[in-house]
Amino acid sequence: MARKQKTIKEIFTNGLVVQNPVFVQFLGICPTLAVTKSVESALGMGAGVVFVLVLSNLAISLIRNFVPREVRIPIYIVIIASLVTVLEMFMKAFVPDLATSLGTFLSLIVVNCLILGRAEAFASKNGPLKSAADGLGMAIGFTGGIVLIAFFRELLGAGTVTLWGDIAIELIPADYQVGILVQAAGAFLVFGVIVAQINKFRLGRAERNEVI
Amino acid sequence: MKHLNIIITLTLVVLISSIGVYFVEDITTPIIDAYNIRQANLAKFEVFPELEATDDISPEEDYDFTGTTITELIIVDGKGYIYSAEFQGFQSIITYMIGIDLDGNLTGYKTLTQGDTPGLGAEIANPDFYPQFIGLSTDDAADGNIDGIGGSTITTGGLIGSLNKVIEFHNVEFEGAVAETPEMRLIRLKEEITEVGATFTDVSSDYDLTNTPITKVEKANDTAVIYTITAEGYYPGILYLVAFDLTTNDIIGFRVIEHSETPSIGDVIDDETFQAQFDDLDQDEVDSIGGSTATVTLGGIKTTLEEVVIFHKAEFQGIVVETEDMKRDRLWLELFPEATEFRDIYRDYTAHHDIEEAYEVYNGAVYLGNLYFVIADGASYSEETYVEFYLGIAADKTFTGFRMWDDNETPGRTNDFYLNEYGDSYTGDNIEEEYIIDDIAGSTLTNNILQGLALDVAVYHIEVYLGLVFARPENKELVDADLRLAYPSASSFNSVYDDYTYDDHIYNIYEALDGSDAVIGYVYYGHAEGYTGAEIEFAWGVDLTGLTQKLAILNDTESWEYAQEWRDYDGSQGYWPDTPWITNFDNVLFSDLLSDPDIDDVANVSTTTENMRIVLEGIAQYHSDESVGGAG
Repeated sequence: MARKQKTIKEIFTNGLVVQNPVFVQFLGICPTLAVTKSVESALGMGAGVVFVLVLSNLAISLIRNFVPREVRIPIYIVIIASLVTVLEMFMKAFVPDLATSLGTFLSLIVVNCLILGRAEAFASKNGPLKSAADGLGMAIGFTGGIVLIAFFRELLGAGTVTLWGDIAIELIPADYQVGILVQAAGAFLVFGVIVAQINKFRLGRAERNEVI
Repeated sequence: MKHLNIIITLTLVVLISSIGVYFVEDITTPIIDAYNIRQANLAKFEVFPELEATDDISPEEDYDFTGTTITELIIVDGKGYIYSAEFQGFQSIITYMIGIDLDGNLTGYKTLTQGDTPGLGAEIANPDFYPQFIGLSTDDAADGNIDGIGGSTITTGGLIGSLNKVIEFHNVEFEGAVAETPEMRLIRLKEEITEVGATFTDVSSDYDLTNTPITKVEKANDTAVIYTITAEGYYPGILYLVAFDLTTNDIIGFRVIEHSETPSIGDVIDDETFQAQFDDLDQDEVDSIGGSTATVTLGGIKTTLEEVVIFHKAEFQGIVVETEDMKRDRLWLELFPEATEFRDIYRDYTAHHDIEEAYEVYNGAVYLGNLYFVIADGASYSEETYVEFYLGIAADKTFTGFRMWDDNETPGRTNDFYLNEYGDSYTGDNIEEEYIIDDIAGSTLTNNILQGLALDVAVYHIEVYLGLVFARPENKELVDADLRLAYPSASSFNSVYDDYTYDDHIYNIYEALDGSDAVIGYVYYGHAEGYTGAEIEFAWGVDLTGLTQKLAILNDTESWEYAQEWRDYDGSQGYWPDTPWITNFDNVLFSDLLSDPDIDDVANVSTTTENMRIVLEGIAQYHSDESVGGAG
């Protein structure tokens, strides 16, 4: 184990870019496809994931030394589920419109594999500060990913970019919109194109040659 | 030991998580509930901005909303009132909600549902319509001091009427206003049309009010009589009062007690200007009442009022005017003087499109005959007209007589049909033989129609009621030479009338055969009544395509003398039947005769030509109806 210890900054940027959960790790694809019809709901979903992931990583990291191996997963799930429940109540109380538009996907954050994945892969092995940084980086990376997809889907599919409530910028007239992009299939299309572009830059020339 | 550790850890985590969730829930639940209440009652928050989710907004159940148009009332404790109400718009029930604060001002208005015309009545649901109600005093709202919707008087009128009732209810229940009870209002209305302070005595039991629209008769101080009358307007349920002076017997007042007529149209009957017409109205001038474009509503008032006048004349002036019921009874007894019972059998037999009523007539247990009531199309070509009459058929298959009930044929032309002499000319005629019935000069068309209908009834009586075969008269025969006048290219003829239904204007129908005995057409041997009363007999050929050959007049006593001074028929063109008019019926398609009967009758000989034309057109119709030779 001659691995060099990463700094907090490295851990944060790791999730943000290098190991982006959406485009590199392909974690949490379910909400990626479901709530990316508009930038607004993608932002809302992202904020929810930031909340849950940072707190769950922190909590799990704090108790990592007391948790018996055999029941660690059930315990993670209890913690994550409680956090999601709390998040859902807050959202319904203070941003009810957003809660309505996210609908059942808000509750389904519980089963977002990104969260359980980070708990198992990182928080259970690292200190609280690093775990929080990892959670924040991953969650913001996730948010960035789904907002990017939502931006293209909404812009090209519906011609608008909705930031909050009724604040929508109408950019493309109805005649030039690509209706399929706001359908379920459109999410796959946009997702695939963005991943392809990212891979083009991420992988080295040699690797690309290999692929060919 | 390890197991214990697992259990303790799990328990602790679950416990701590649950406590956390519990506290969050405690904070957020009231906020979420308030939001949900607000969402579910958006309209109430909109019309009553001071409303808060914590307020009790359960509807009140202890109020009687009858006649107020109110569907729901919410009392917001210490803040005000929220009313839901509904009214009839132009073509839909419109529901709306208003809020009223404790100062007696409206806090808002919102239309909940409506289905009126888009762009007109539907504008009542346009949010631009709402702000004018905010801060409006209830007095203004009750008086209808609002900006209505352009071009939608009915919708606006309905809203104003409903608002008025809602505010009236509100003022009575919550502002201490004293409501006029229906009883008080009724007395006020009665006093308005008679005398203030008069004593009203109900004398209804002294009179037989059956078959009258009158529900109550009251005397006011023995100087006037007040009738309470039900009438049907555009909607049922008009109840009104009318007063007659007992000295002059003039109408002295009219008030509507209740009605459901359309706002701004039928409801003018509740208007002072309209009611003023009755303040001193001659009892025979009821028909002069006007001032309303609501013909149906007005018609309902006039019809009933005319019946009341008849009643009043009979009971208070000793003038007996025959009512419709009395007239009906009289006519029935004229047709069956011995009758003690008329048993309705109309629905026991197959319907006939002209027969509206049918009765079996008995004297005790002795069957006397059948009475039929016929409503049929009249003679006019230019407009829909009708004739209505009673026809009696005795047990021995003779007519007992005919009685005209009503018609709207050319005014004046039908008077003679109402005479008993006319009706009695049917009496004794065997219904299965040719009828000897008086003709009414000048009303040939009606005359022929009535005789045709009498035959229809006779056939119905025999075939449907008695279930027998109508005995048609013997066919009359023509010699080939006469037939060939109508169908010159035929070489022989063969009677086929027995294959078709009997028609009283057709003596016989022949097939026209060529040299090889193939059918090339038909010849109708028919007759029409001429001016002199004698029959005009004719033969008329038609080929298989419905194209007529010749119309040959075989026998008549007509004269063209009257036509001699008449334009084209100056006599030089020959006397009847050798006139150009007859050739109108040569070489013409039956279908053209029926679809476009533009052959004019000839003035001065109109009786002859009219009769001929009707009979010939009837034959064309018969040819098609009976599918003679496959025509149709």
